[in-house]
This record gives sequence, structure tokens and C-alpha cells, in this order.
Amino acid sequence: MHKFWAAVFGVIIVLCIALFVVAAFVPGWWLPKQVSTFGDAADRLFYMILWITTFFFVLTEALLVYNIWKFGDAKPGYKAPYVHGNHKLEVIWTIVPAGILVLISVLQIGTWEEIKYTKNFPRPDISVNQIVVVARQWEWRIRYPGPEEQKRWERDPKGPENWRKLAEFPFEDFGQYDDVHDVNAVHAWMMDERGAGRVLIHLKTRDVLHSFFLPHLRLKQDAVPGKVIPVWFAVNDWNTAYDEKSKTWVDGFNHNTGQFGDRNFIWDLACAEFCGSRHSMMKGRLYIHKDRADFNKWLDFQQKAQNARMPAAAE
Amino acid sequence: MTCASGSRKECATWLSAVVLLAACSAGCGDPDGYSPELRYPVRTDPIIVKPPTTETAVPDRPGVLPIMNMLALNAPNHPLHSMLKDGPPLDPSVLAPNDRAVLQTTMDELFGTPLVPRTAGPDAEFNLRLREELDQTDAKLATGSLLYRQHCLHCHGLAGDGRGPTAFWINPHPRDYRPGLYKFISISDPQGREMRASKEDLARTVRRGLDGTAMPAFSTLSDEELSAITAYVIHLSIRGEVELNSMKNFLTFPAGQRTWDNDKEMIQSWLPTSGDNWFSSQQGAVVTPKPYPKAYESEEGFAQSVKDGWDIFKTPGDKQGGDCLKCHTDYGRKAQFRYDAWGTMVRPADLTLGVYRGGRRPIDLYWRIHNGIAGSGMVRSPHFQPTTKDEIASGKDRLWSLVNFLQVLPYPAMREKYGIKID
Repeated sequence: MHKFWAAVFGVIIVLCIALFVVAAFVPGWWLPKQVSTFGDAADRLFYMILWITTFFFVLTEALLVYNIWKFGDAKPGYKAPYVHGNHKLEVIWTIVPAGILVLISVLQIGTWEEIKYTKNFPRPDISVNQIVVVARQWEWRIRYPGPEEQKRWERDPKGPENWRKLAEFPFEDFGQYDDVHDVNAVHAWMMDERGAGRVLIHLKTRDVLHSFFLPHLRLKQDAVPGKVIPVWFAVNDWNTAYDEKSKTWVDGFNHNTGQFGDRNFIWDLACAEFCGSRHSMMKGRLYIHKDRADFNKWLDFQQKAQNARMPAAAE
Repeated sequence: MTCASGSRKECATWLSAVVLLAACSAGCGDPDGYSPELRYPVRTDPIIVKPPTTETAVPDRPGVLPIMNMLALNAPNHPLHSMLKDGPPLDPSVLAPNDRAVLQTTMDELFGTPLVPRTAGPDAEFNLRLREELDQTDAKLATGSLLYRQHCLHCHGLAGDGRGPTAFWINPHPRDYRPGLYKFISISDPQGREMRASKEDLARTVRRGLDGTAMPAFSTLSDEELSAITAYVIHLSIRGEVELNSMKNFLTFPAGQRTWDNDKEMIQSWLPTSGDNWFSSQQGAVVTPKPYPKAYESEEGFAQSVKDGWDIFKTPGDKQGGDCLKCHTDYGRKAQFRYDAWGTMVRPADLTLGVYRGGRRPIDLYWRIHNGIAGSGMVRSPHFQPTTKDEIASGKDRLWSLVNFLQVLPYPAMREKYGIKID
């Protein structure tokens, strides 16, 4: 009978490993496409931890299966010997995992530093795309400096810094006269060779804890009430273009094939901190434009829609 | 490995594992829908006749409004307690059992159930109009009902009564569709009759959300999904209005004094009343603003129009002004809470915040001033548009001036630039 259970555990462990192997080849089962500058480093850490845990998981499961198989069928009346323990063995299995944990914590420092240390954040200047993201139950309200404001920055190098200061006012989300507003859609452009196009987000929340999560960028940051938390990223790829049919910018654009509707090019924005009953539907999209010119075209388009003085049908 | 060969214990383990798996897969296979037995409930909450006119500096306590039954009003500290003396609400719970039964069956015939909703009366031609002009097809309503269950029900309630489980804890309270009043609409009746809403208005509200309220934006839904939700909201609204009017009839005319012979026909007759208003509220009724004055395009012209708008905002009504400060006290910063047509508490907007529920586009602000905001006490003011020959010749437009002023008002830098002092 115990041989049966050993076989069951053995089969399950083999199936688990097989599932991992299969998942790597089935679209949508493994990690989504990675498009940010620091995402590869985050992925490397993930794989490293995955391999370490896989190794020890397989090791312990194999020992378990072996022992059930070997010692399971005891003769009737057989008394199990009492084993007090093994000091040396315990020291080893405490020190080795501790050493591995210390190793992981040392190896992740560089990646964490790149993504989260404020000294690595882009200094607000004209090449940086500043965005205010305000989370609330259950949507993302988004605000950009308007086209006129950005034109003023060309003459006034302190402009971007001043905009940041106003954006970081924590209590009310005031904004400025010519800001461009949107909801559930973050627009940015692909970083160019000179490094222009890094995105600096000022993250706030109006009610409870939320978490700003861009899975395709391997980026996650909690939004905490009363705080303005900076978040930065830069993207290596693009996914949106003007669609003549729908008369607006549409994501899911695969620039290799020139086709819309490619699942690999739809990049989600999700909330990753349980925030209420509709938490799972607090979703947005990330739109990355080909270059700054295309982004500016969208910004003008969005501002024009925001300044509409006539109903759409009468225009 | 059968129960015969193994011990009893092992058999129990295997059985429980099988049962667990079966239960799990049965749970997973359950379609996300209503039970066929579920019917729309007949209204039980009081019908507000005359909301109190008192104003207070603080909103209602969480969990108190909107009211569910007359009993709640008996508590002396209930915010609507004073209604019992002046303008008591009609109480649906005193409806005679046979009246309630005929109402339930007739309403079920007209509007179906949450699983199979329909909007159809005895008149085939009218039903065709409902399908063509208001998308009240069975397929669309069924889709809309499912989406409504998923996205809207927990605030707006099963019957669209604005009394879902979360409704009591959010302020402003979610909309009750049954009176057929909608706040943020693009349409207006020249005679000043209350309009419903155009399909586009409802879809815009769902798509963009209402900033500053608990209504989020559902911008990731597709256009088809939005139009299904819109159709279903219209269905609930027409249903609620038919029920409301029939119930008012039953409650105001006791048996024996009724002005109608057949209860069923009386209920059915309210369908065209509500439907017609929805028909006339569609696309053709959208208010197109007067053209934006050329003079306002220049910097000086704009500055002048902002000043003009400020004057209209401050000037009392008897001096041809807007008298806006009367309700938007201190530009809304000290506005008091008051009761709206639904018996919930609202406050005139704080216009210095730059948060606009009905949208921040100039056209949205124009519609708010021109059309008013139904049920809230914000009156319609189409008279600010230039109408007389002199006004048109002057090249000025008082309504556009107000809009320009409102757009400048929230921003300290802009107020300084245009010489507006509000402190």
C-alpha cells in the first residue's frame, strides 16, 4: 500500500516539473513579454530563485518518495527506533539555506538600486516624461503637462522641476490649467538612443492602498494615502499607433508585422494591492508610442478633445 | 486499489477526495448568471414627495441614506424625519395585497426577469420603436443584464434603485434610475420639461466615470459592452418609472375611488409615457452651443470674457446676473449640503477644485449651465445665450464667458493673470 503512495508522490512531482517545461512553450503560460530597461535584471533574479527553489524542491521530494518506498512496508509489530537528532546535520541545514538567503539578498542589491533608489531617478528636465497617476477605487486618473507647458520648458529650464514640485503636493490633486487629463491609460514613448523618454510618475492615491503594477515592465509600486511616491521606467519597445478606422491611438500594434490586435503588444496596467470589491477590474493599459513626435501628436489630439466646445456630432 | 481490497479508512479517503473534486468542478462550471426564479422585486422603499428644504454644513451619517423603509423615518435623529410632518412620503408597504399581486404580474409581463429581461408592451409598433431607437432587444438586454450584474449591481441595486449593498457607505449616493432623472445630460427641452438622457450621455458617463464621486471609469469595456449596459440601464429606468407611476396611482386612489377600470391596462399605459420621453431625449435633442465668439479667441478678448463671466457669476438674479454665489457659496468652498429629488444629500460643486463630475470639457460645462442638473436644484439657464439682435451684434456670449471664467477659477496662477480675487 505504501508503495502506491510513493508512486503517487513520485508521479505528481514529475508532472509538476513537466508542467513547468510545457508552460515555457505555451503562449500566455509563462512570463509576459519584457519591454523595460531594467526588466531583464529582474527576470534574472526571478530565474535564479526559481532554479534554487526547484533544486531543493526536487531534492526533498525525491528523499520523501525514496523513504516512503523503502521504509513504508514495515513488518507487523515492528517498533520505530527513536532518533534523537544529529547536531552536525542540523547545523548544516541551517547554515546552507541562511547562506543562500544572504547570497540572494546581496545579488539583488544592484537591481533594487537601479529601480528604486531615488538617486537613479531621472532628474525632471525636458527629456523626461512626467506623469501624475492618481489611484482611487477603482480607476487610474492620469495627468500630463500640456503641450503649451512643455513648449514653455524649452525656454525655462526650471519649468520641469517646478511642475514636479506642484505635482508632489500631497493633499489634493490640483493640477494646472493646461494639463491633459486621461483615465486608465498611461502614454509614453520608447526611449531613444540619447536616453530621452524616461518616464517619471508621481504616484498618489485618493482613498486606500493601491499598487501600480506594469507586468510587462516588471514594475510594481504601492500607492500610499497621503504620500506622493515617485516611480520611474524606460521602455525599449513600442505598441501603439494611430488607427484610421477608430480615429484614435490603439494599442496592440505589432510594428514587425504592422498589424493591430497582437496580444503580445497589449500591455496592462493593473492594481496589485487588494483595494475593494472591484479590485480585479481596476485595470488600465500602457501605450508606448514610437517616438516623441508621435507622443506629442497624441497629446495634442487628447488636448483638443479635452477642449472641445462642440458636441462630436456637430464638428 | 479498490474499496474491497483496501481498508475502510483508505476507502473513506478516496471517497472524500472524489467528492471534493466533483464539488470543485461543479462550482467552476456554474455560469455567471441569475437564477431563472429570480424576479424583479416590487418597490418597498418610500416614494419621496417633498424632500426637506433644510441645509446643513455636514453630510448624512454613513450608512443612513438612501432610505429603505418608512420605519427608519420614525427615529427622531434620522435626517429625513421632518418629512413625516411636511410632505410625508408615499409608503409602498401599505399597498393592498391584490394591488401588489397585479403590479408584480403585470410588471413581469412587461419587463421579464433579470435573467431574461425585456421591454415590451401590448403595442407592437411601440415595441419596434423601443428596439430600434433605444436598443431594447432581448439579446442586448440579456448581455447588458450580465454586465450590469458584474459591474454595477453592488452600488445601483438589482432593480436600479440606487440601493445596492455599498450604496449607503458612499457619498454622493449612487443614482436611483427609477424617477428617470439624469444629471449629466447633453439634451434640453425648450419648454423646460425634464428630459431623460441620450444613449450617448449614459455611455459617456459609464466610459469616463464621474470624477469626484464613487463612479469609476469603465474605459476598458468595449463599445458593444457599453451599449449593452446603456440599453439595460434604460430598461431599468423605464421599468422603475412605470412602477413608480402605477404605485403612485394605487396609493393616492383608494379602492372604490379609482379613475381607471382595469388595473393591468393602467399599469401598461405608463409604458408609452416613459418611453416617449426617452425617444424625444435621443440624438435629435442634443444642445449645440452657439458658436464660440471670434472676439474671445484673442488674449484680450479671452481676458475680458473671463471678467464678464466673473461678473455674471457674482451678480444677483434681480440685476440680470447668474446669482451663482447663492448656492455655490464662496465659489462652492462653503456650500451647504441639501436634499435632492432622490432624498439623498448633495452639495453644490466647489468650483475652485477643478474636479468636474460631468466632465471637464468646455462643452460639458456649457451643457451643465444650459441644461441645469436634474434633481439637484441646479436650474437650467439657456437665457445666458445671446438671443436678441443687440446681444448677437455685440459679439459677446454670456454663457461662454461663464464657461471661460469657470475654467480659469481653480488655478491660482490663472486667477492672478486675469485679476480674479476670490479670497
